[in-house]
Amino acid sequence: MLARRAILHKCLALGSLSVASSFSVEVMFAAFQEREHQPRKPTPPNTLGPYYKRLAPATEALRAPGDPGLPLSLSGQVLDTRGEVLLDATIEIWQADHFGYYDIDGYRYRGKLSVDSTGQYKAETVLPGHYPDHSRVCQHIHYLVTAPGHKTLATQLYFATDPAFDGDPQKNFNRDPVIHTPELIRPVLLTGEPEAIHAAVRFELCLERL
Amino acid sequence: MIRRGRAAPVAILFSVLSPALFAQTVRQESSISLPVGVSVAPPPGRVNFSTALSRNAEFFAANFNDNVVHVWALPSGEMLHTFDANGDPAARLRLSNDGRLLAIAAKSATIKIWDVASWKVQQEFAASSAVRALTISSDNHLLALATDFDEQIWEFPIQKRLAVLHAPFDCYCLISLAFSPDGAMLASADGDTAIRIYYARTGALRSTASELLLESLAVDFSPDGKSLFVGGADNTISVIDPLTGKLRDTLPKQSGTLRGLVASGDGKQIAAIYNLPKRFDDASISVVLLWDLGSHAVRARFEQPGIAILGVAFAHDRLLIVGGSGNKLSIWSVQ
Repeated sequence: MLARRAILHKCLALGSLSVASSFSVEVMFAAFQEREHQPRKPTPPNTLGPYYKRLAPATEALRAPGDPGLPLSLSGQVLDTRGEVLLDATIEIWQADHFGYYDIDGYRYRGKLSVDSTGQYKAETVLPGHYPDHSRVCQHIHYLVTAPGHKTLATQLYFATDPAFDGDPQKNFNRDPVIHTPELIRPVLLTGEPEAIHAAVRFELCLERL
Repeated sequence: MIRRGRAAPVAILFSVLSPALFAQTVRQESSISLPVGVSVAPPPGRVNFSTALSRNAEFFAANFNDNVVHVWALPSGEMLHTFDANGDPAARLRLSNDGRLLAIAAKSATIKIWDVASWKVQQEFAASSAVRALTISSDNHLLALATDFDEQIWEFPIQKRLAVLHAPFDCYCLISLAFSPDGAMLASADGDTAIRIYYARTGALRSTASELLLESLAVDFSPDGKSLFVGGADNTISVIDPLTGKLRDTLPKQSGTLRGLVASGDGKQIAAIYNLPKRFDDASISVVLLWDLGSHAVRARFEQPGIAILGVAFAHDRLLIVGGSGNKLSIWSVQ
């Protein structure tokens, strides 16, 4: 595997990266490193329950063929506040189905995820529905993230496309009383043909060290 | 504002009746009209909504959407006190079992303990952050509180903090606390679904019940302290041995989340508040079931269309229920 310094040299040689003439590669690399190790803000916590269920199965495939709802690909990276990848992180996610109902008896739309060698996680699910008769609770997916030596994070992912935000989550985030920051509201990328639209959301997770 | 003591039974509304239920009477004791604009259901954006019913069923306190704490005598519905929190609204309320004390945890994490009779602040201290749950021991000496980061046990008459318990993680979740009747133990239903039982005066962990898969939202000890009743998102009531943490018994599962429970004075019955099936709002339409612990039978079911149940308590030979809708509170008794 190439070191970062070597990658920078290679990019320069191939012309895929250009720098101002006053910068040497070494200066640029130092700046790059400094930037990368700036303290990151931990992911804000958010309400845990009350439908957290222990012992969720280890699976990335929360969506079964034929499930109603907009298919959704979740992905992201798990880091700590120093920007270091947490390879031993475990993520539990759980959510309501397309109609807004949690599976209490079983483990539908519940899964335990691990990360790959670059700290990335992914899952295939559907966009959760709003709770029935309770439109002020925005669509959300619960996360419980653990990693040795780090503070456990309980949080939720919200979707910028939620009608509750009226297209402006920065301004309207607190229409749901449990959302205290717009940082948890992520943009939704729609792809695919009109008859087979697929949504994708990235949600980076940053844990504090103990 | 208050209509008192309607003697005639006004509503028998059990929609599902067990045979024993036919011998029981539901009576509306009183009705309370709240000020215009005050609603018993939390409006969007309001999280400082809390109610408290004393175990002896003699007092009810509530902070609805007007940032004013009201205290009423039951079952008459007579308003005793109001407390305008001004810029520091009450986030959590808890009445002592005998109704003599009312603990008000403000949004600022300041806790004031009021003497209900004299309406004077008896003690005041501060938690580490916003309080999620409160409970007072039967002898009115200990207070336990839970925040998102820790739990604390105070001997509040002398303002001494006895213990700080650390939650499994900053859970931002619903936590329920209960002291054993003798005040020796504290049970905590935690966000990781475990029930932890501590020695109240030292904070040492006595046992952990870790068999439950879903979060518990309510805990209560039996009057002899030998059983712990818990219920919540699993829609059932579990009976736990507080000394070992082992699960002893489970009552039949219902179709809605259990939001509150209380054991009767003889320990033979439990009254529990459930949300109706597939309703998620904690102030939404709910139902009260009265369980016979020996037979696992439902002895009574109380449900009113459109009414959110806010509290239930045993009073001698009857069950007192506080509920409401819009800006009206009602008090019912089941005998």
